[in-house]
Amino acid sequence: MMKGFSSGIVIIAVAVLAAFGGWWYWTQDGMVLLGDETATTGTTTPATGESASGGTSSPGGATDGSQTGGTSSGGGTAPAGSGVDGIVADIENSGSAEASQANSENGTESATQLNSSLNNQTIYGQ
Amino acid sequence: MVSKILASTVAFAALLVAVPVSAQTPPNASSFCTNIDATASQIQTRMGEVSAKITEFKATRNTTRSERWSGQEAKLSAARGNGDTKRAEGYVKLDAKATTDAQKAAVATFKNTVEVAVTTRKAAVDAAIAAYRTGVDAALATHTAALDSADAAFEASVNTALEQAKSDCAAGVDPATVRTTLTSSIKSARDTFQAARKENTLKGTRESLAATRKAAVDTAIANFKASVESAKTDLKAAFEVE
Repeated sequence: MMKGFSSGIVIIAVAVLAAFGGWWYWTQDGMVLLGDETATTGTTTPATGESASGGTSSPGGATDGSQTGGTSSGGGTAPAGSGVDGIVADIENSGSAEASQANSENGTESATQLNSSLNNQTIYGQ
Repeated sequence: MVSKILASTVAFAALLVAVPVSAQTPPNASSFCTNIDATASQIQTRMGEVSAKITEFKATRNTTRSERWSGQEAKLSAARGNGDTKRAEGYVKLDAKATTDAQKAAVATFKNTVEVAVTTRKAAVDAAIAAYRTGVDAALATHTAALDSADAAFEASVNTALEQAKSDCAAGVDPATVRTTLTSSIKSARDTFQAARKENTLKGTRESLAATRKAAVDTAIANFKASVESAKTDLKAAFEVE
């Protein structure tokens, strides 16, 4: 009698938990997972080409002489270096490879190998 | 009869073992003085091998250094060529943008200023490299001199020990004592030689020279950029006034 009573309590408890879980699942992101895409599309980031700050892009080619350098944003911007600032920046950086090359010269004339060879050279009695 | 055969077999076996063992045993102390000249000759030959290694090292090092520096110069020249090309491309773009006389004049001034700055930069980089190489050469010369000196001291010490050994043998000193003394003297000379070579290192000097070179090159680049930035101000002003 008692055994049947306990089993009934367990079954009821499992059923309550399952019902609660289903409700929670449904009210949280269950809707999304089940295909209501409007829940995500409304929060996606702007598509490519849109400015995050509301469309202040300034294509380089159209603003020669007044471009403020590196402030253009989003799609539709001109290639780097097409404005005066960009061109001058390219010229300014044209010496970086020279500097890297100049600093890359390091000698390897160490005597490590010689010393090792001499240390192993037998003279007498070793 | 059987015992005789057995005894002969044992004796033969013992002989087979004893002959190779005796052949591997170094000359015992009693024969040391008898063979002192041969020993001395062998030691001289080995010291000659040491000197030969050092000579070869010096020659190889000089060749390697020269080849590396030549390679570096070629790479530096190529890097500069690329830089010149990029700069020329920039000038073409600026020329294309300059439509008024004022703008064209501003571009011409900008180009002149930049070219002067480039010449200054290249000269500064060349000077930095030259200073580095001069320093490396001096360090190598010092290192070589110290190496030669250590080798000469080593040879002198060993020769002195050999002469002493010969003298002791001639004087009738116990050959075992002579041999022990010679071995000890040569070990001492060898340890001194080894310590001298260990202390004689280029590492710190080279790093210091490279750091100095880097600082000079960085300064040259910074000065160049500052010149270009300054020239850019006038250039932009010309383009902003329509």
